[in-house]
Amino acid sequence: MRIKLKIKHLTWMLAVFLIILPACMIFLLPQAELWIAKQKIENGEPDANVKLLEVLDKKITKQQRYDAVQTYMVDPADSSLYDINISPSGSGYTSTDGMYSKFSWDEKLPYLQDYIENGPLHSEYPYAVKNLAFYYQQHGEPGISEEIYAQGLKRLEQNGDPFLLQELQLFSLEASVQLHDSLGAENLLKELKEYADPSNMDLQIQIAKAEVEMQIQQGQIELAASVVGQILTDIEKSDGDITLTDSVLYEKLQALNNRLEYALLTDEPLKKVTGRVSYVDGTPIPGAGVFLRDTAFANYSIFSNEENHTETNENGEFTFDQVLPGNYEVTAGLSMEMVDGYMIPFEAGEILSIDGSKDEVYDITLEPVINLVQPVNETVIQEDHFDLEWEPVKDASYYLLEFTIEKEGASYSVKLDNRITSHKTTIELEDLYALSTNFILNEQDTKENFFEPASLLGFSNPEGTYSWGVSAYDSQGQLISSSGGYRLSEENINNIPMIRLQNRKLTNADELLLDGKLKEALQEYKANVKKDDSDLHSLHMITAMIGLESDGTWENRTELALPYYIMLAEQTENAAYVWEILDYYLYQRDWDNYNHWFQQYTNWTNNGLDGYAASSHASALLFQGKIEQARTFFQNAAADSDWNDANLENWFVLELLDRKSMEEVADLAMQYPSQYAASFYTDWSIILHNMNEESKNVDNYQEELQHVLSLYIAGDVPALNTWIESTDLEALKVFIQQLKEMNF
Amino acid sequence: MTEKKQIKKKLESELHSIHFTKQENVLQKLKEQEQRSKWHRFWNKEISIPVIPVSTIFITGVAVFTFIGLNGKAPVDDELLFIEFGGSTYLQQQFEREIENEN
Repeated sequence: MRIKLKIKHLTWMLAVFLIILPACMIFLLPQAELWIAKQKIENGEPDANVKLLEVLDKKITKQQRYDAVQTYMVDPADSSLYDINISPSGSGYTSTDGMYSKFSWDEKLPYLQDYIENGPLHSEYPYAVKNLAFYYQQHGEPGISEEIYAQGLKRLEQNGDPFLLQELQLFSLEASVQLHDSLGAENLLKELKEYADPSNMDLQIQIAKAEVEMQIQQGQIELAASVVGQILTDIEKSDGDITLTDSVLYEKLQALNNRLEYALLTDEPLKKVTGRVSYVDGTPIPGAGVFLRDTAFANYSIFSNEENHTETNENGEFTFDQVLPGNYEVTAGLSMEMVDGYMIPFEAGEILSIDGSKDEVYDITLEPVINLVQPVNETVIQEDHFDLEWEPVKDASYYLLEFTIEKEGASYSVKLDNRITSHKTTIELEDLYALSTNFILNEQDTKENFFEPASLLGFSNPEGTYSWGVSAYDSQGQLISSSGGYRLSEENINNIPMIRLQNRKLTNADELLLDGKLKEALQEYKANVKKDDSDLHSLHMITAMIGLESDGTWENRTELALPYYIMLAEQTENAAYVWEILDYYLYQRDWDNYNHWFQQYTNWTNNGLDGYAASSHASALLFQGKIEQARTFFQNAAADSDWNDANLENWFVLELLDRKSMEEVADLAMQYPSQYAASFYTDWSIILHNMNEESKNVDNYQEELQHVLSLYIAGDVPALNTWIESTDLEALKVFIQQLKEMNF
Repeated sequence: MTEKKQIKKKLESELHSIHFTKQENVLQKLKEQEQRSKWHRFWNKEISIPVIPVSTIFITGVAVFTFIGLNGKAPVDDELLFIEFGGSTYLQQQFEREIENEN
């Protein structure tokens, strides 16, 4: 097919095209570039932010510009201001729409400013105001911060949604409280109280909470405590009439109540917390976020309005001016760039305990990750042992190894407790096979979606993918650094510690297990043991799977597994198996067997008892009435560097039984605050303090205390229950209930 | 005849001081006319364009340009950006590349 055209027409067409082209370049090209920049952001490409910034200044529509600012620059949660938030209980990325990295303050300031002045009043608007005001608040410009709030409030008052206005008023109120601007705060409070919907309980409580925080700032702790106490009582007594859509709000009030109770124990409770965020060579890290969070919320992600949130100045320093006593977890908010190639040596569960007696200093030092030498990059291990090597760490006194079963979705890590004093070691595969990674508690376990039969095989699966890592400790037992950290850029990837353990072949029973035929597999393992009771693999697998036959309880599963643990322990002399046996006899209060196996444990373990083990043994001694010995082990547990893993509540019981005053024991409890036991967290010092107060009005309190503690020591649960039901000593009842919950 | 000659003579003597100097212009004009008609012919010349080859080239060009511009990548999921392995955090794509290289 051909078309006929006069040359003049063709020329005209060309001419028109040439005129349109520049117009396209000016108007359409930015559109294409905007689209490409957005795609790049969604692909998580590191250079995407620069591309978007380039486009934002070109000829795109205002709506498009504000839309991009809203999506990529306004952060609705405090946590999303940073790429990564790292705390002792874990880390979280806050990628927005796939973004590799957030915009820096310098990059986004002009856009936020313009958005606040001229942008649309959408739901992101209050957050944009809050973000920008926070920046100036952090950079010593409280005046500008206030102006920004005033500007935002004015715009919303004139044309905005009343809901957004209220939200911004609340943010502004919280900021005024933080800035100690009591006049501004009081005005806002008055306004908010006047217009706030009385049926919106969330808002009412947020307002009340802000007011309480203002009272705290002004040093009116007693007033604040009574207000919070009153709100909590009102909610409890309302029988569900007062419902909060934000359930965390109630927990926040409870935590605040706890801290206020703590605060009432000291005269000048508000203390300063300062610190510095830097690299190990001393280079400061400016602009890092620092959060001080009540440990009660350690397992929650960072809230949109954290009470204690600041950023480091140009010297990497941060300050929290007035902090209530309590147990806090420090979280650092960092950018990809800051953290690449580094790790923060937080110990798991590390807390900052503020008792209100003095100001605290808490520095955060980023350490370079330890690079691994061998085996790495999918090395296949076929011998019965293999050598490991890593780059030595300066000042390291010893190293601990960790092995992980890598499985998409769920990975299992086990730390070996052998302290290695050089940067090389040899591992016997038998020792890895003996590590317990996962076991079936009951049949129900195996029906869960996440249940993965291969996980029961632990490290003895030749088809599995495994990794290893190393952590370095100083002579005080403090973590210096580890191989696990952030390896984001190519130069920091180093060797990938992926290994395959192919020293053994799958047995028939293993194949059955991998096929999901669990009961058949268990029978086969049992048959293997019958034929040959030195078949360690089958014995080990039985302990992992015997839960299939249990009635569903922990005791029953442990009881069924016990004979196999004993066979394993006797043949391998591996202390980890003995620990399982001890756990059972402690629970059964079978002291003859317990003491026999504890002797074996000390014989076979390579290291001293860690905090957890020492406290557990101390409890066993206490229950046997061996007060003095028990006290020594509790003291050892408390002196251990990871004492926060220890269960020290029985120490408090011991001291009370030994007739120490409740005040003294409360002080002890304050010195060693309990960690999050299971999912809840118990503040023993407050309970003990309350008991002390209660005892002042009761004549025979000491006798009653001794009586109920002797029931507890004897493990007489029915008698304890009867006592709990009949007593009217509320504080003592709480103490006993908590003890019972944790130990029986 | 004599009269004619006389008139001619007279005319010659009268026009004696007048010279025709625009020959060049006339020639130029003639030339222009010729060029204009040439241009006109060219301007109105019909050419025939084969639709299929030309449009194929055009479309291929646009497609290549678009492909280069967009890198031809599909957006990835947020959570796939990072991968945790052996206690470290890597960028998923880089990690996979590295593993492939090792193999």
